[in-house]
Amino acid sequence: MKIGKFGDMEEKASGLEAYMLACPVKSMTGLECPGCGFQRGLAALVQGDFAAAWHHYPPLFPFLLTMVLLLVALRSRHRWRLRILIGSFIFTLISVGINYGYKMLAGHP
Amino acid sequence: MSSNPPYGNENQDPFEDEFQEDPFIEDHFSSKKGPSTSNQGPRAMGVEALPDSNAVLVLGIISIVGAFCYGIVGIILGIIALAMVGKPERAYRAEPGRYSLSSYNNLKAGRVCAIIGVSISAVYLLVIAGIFLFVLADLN
Repeated sequence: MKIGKFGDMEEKASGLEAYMLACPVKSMTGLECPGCGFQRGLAALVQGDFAAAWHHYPPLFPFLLTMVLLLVALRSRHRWRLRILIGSFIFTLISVGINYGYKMLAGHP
Repeated sequence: MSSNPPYGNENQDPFEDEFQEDPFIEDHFSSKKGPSTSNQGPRAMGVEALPDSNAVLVLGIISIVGAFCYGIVGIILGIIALAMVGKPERAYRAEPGRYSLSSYNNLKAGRVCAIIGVSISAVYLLVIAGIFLFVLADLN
C-alpha cells in the first residue's frame, strides 16, 4: 500500500517487515488494536526516518521516552522520580488513546 | 464498630492466625516499619473499603488485556497499578481492623493481575526488541 510521500517506506523496511510479529488482536478480530503500527514506526525509527515513524505511530515517541524514564527511575533515588514516571505514563496513555480514537473515527490517513 | 460486621462475632478475626504466622508478610514489612504495636487489642472486621483497591483491581485486569497490544498498554497500566498498591497496603498493615477484608482481597488480586500483565508485556516488548536487534544486525 503506497501512502503519499511515505510510500517508499515499505520498501525501505522490507527486510525488517518479514520478521515482524503479527498482531494477535488484528488477526483474530480484524480490528486494529491500540498498539498497531508500533512495529512499523519502530522500523522507521531505527532506520533514522523520524517523519515516517510519526506517520505510522505517533505515540511511539512518548512511549520510548517513558521506557527510558522507567529504566532511569529504577536506579534513581530522586524524590520526584515516581511522580515524573507516573506523569509520563499517563501522558503516554492519553496519547495512545487519542491516536486510537483518531484512527478508529477518522481512519488511518 | 457500630454497624454490623460482615459475618461472625465482632471480636473474632478468622484470619488473625494467618496474618501472624505468615513469615513472608511479616518479613516483608518489618524491614520497613519496624515492630508494629497498632494491631494490639480486640479487632473487628471493618466495613470501610481500602482507598484505591478497586482502581488497582481494574487497572490490573486491563493491563492483562492490554498486554496483547504489543505490550504498550499493559506495561503502562500494570506499572501504574503496582505503584498505587503501596499506600493502601501500608494503611491496611497499620490498622487491619478498620478496613474490610474484601477490599484487601481486591487489592491483592489487582496486584497479582498487574504483575502478570507487566510480565507478559515485558516479555512481548523484549521479544520485539530482540527481533529488531538481530534482524538489524543481520541486514547490515
